[in-house]
Amino acid sequence: MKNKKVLWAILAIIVIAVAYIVIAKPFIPKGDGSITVKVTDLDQKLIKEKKIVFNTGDKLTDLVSKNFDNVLIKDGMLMNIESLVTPADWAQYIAIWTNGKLAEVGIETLPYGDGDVLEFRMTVNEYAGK
Amino acid sequence: MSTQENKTEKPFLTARELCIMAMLTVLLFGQEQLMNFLPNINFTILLMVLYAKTFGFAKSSMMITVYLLLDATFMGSLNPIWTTGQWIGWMMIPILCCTVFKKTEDSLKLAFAGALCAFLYCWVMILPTMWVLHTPFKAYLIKDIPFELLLAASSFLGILLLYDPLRKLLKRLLRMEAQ
Repeated sequence: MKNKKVLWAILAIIVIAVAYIVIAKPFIPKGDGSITVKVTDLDQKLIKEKKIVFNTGDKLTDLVSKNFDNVLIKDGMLMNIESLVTPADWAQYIAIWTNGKLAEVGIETLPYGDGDVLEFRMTVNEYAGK
Repeated sequence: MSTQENKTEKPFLTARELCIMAMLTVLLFGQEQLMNFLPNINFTILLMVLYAKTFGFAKSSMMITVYLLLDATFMGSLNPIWTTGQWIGWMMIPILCCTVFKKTEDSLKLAFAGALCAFLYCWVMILPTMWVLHTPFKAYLIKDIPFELLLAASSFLGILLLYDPLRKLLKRLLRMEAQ
């Protein structure tokens, strides 16, 4: 009788473990953190927004290339992403904003961390043609 | 003769018994709050089965009703539809324990009864949840399965391992009153 109870107790523990894993799985983070990346046009209209999960050591350029279409990075600068294309005369360019502040470095050296919001915003180049 | 009989007749509820029931109701509420960080893993059904088997239908129903009102008020879920659904779901335990399982004292059989009560409670709660939260029936039914299993398995395990020692403890406590 005691053995029977032990067996049933083990079975109950297995059921609890399996059910708990099924419930908790969607809440377990897959990487070390996540960033939100937005692509906006000249009027700041949102073209695409994506939450990207990263692991420590991941390069931002790789993360962006993997998660967005038509990505072109040339000489450390983001030239194209989605429908945004930097024209040959540089009348417009893709500016990078981090947490609402204009980034001071390019995409290759831009630091990022968990919870950061990056925005690639098409911007008029005021110095073009001068 | 009849006056003498009336004098010796045991009252429905003594002051000490009422105090014990109040403490046990607090225990029922407290353990659920303490284990709230675990989804559907608690000793609520174990304690309800224990109370129903020890105190009988009327007294355990009182304890369950007070616990439910306390829990619903504290958790902010006091709602005529929702709380009534919960009450019907929880009342399955004293009803079953005081009828079908009245003579059952084997902890393994009671553990199965507890698991059954867990499923019954979850199924009873489908309708109020759909009504209050406007949840689609099929989606709720599928998503609720692991939660039902957790409640049933944790209740099963709790009753299997703790029913006998707790029953002895509670009986001793109540016997002390009789002395």
